[in-house]
Amino acid sequence: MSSVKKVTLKSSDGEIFEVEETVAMESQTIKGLIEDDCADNAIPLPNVTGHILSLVIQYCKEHTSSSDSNSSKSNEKLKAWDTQFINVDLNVLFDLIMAANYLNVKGLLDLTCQTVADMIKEKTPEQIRAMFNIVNDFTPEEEEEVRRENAWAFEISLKNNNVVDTFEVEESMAKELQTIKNMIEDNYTDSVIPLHNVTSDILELVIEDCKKHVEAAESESEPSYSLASKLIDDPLKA
Amino acid sequence: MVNIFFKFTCCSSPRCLETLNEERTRIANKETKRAKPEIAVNKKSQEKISISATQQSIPLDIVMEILSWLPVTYVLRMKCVCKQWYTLTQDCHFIEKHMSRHRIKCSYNKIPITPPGNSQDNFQLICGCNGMLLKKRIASNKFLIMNNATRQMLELPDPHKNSFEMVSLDLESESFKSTIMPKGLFSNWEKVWALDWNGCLSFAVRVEEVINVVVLEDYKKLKWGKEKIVIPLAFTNSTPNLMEDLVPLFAQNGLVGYIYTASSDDVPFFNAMIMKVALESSSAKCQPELRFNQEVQTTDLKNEVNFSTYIANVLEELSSETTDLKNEVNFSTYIANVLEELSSEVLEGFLLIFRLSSNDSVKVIPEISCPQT
Repeated sequence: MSSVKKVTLKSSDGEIFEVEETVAMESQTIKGLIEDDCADNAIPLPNVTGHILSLVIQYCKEHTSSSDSNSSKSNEKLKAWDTQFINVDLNVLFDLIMAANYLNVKGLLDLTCQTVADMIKEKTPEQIRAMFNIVNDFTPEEEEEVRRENAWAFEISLKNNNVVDTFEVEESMAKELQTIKNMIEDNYTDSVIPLHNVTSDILELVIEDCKKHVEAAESESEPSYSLASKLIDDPLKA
Repeated sequence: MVNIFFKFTCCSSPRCLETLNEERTRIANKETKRAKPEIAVNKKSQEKISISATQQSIPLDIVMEILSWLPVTYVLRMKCVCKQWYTLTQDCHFIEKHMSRHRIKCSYNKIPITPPGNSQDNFQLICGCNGMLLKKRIASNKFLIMNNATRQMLELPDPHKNSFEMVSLDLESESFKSTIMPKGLFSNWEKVWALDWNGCLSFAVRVEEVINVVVLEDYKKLKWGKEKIVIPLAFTNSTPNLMEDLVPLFAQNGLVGYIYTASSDDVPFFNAMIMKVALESSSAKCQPELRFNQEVQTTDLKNEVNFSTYIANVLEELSSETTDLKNEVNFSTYIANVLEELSSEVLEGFLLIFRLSSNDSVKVIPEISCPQT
């Protein structure tokens, strides 16, 4: 019985990790180095800190053992593990993306990027800029122009019970309504949301009300949501 | 400010894509800055959202990876984040990557036929290619190419009058190209079909008992083959009246496939044929050898998906019988895909439209590309 082959990895801050070769080979970058016989000594990874490297190794371990025929890990369990694993601070998440990219661990890269993509779906451009540390180099007029060009992408259609009138509303407004927000978050694929219990008159009023609330929120006043939201949600719950 | 309305976002061919590996080494050489995470409270919202604002600057390639997971509408929203992201969403590498994640399939009932703002115009949907649709204004003879996902539209220019001109939209260069067709080739353009001849565009027409094919040998130089390729249809003798609506589908490596529709006793059916042709030289006559000739009855002519599976199965059977047919095994999948795509109106390759202004007859022909083997 031959002993399990191990490789040594050294993080940017000097931490040493000894991992099984099969686990390390989840990284195509490391795999290349091993195959080119450059892995006799510790492999230096100057772009990855110890903390992040330990996480990456954890991921690789989990995903290597699952492809093992002896392992009883089902796809569902692995997915559950992934969901738990990815529940980290945003900075850690970005570091993981960078590390996964540098080390070329496709599964981890896809997982982390998808997670961030899901996060930014909900966000306004301002929030996204904060997340990615981006400076807005559009002038207000330019930004308005870009928004207008793709205005329809910001809208979702609400149809009343007669399927006669369609209201194009900004998604941010529609989200004020908890019911619709849930539908959107469940990734309702059609861009038209039918509201069977609401007539167009009521829907119009509700949309007006939502608009006011969104405008109030943007002007930094603090409206009391509790009573208002109740009123909005009620006709839909009918 | 760039007026993007007329800039056409296209789905470009893999030829313009550099390998991902090159991108990876570029990122690996960048140093990422380390910083303490910050918790920012968004004062504008009633809820306290803890958004950790990163102090790192995220490389564009990573942004591209992230955005490629988003559906198109969200990608379009990302345009207003900053100018770099605006340009990124229109970059051909990004589009390629995005397309690889989201397989695009159009079906009639999901396409909004009238683009917003143009509700008065009536459009007739003709065909689709690579996520783009070709529409014809019913009133006039104008053709529009529309990217259904981003709702951008482009009008196809008319060819010059009294010329045998072919106008095409080159998806790779995003420009219109025009070429003069070789004159005197075909007497009746109504019956001409476009055919993929070993990866080149060609036109084929059935003239009595032969099929004449002219190939566009060099697309870059728009050079047509000097002579016609003549494929005799020896088997027509047995079924002369069934050959009326012969539609050549593809030609690759010496195999030519056709379908034709016919009806007997008012029941419509398809007939599929694959012929093996031996080409001695491009101008020589070929001796066809019939490989597969099957009749498929179907009450719904649009039900090509079942038809394609049927053909696929038959070919698999044929290929298992003789070792001779080994290289046709790939074909069964190919044919299945081609026919399935025909039924869902999404085809790969470049979209080709040609009009003859001399007699105002218009024909639109979808182009089928061969898979890379």
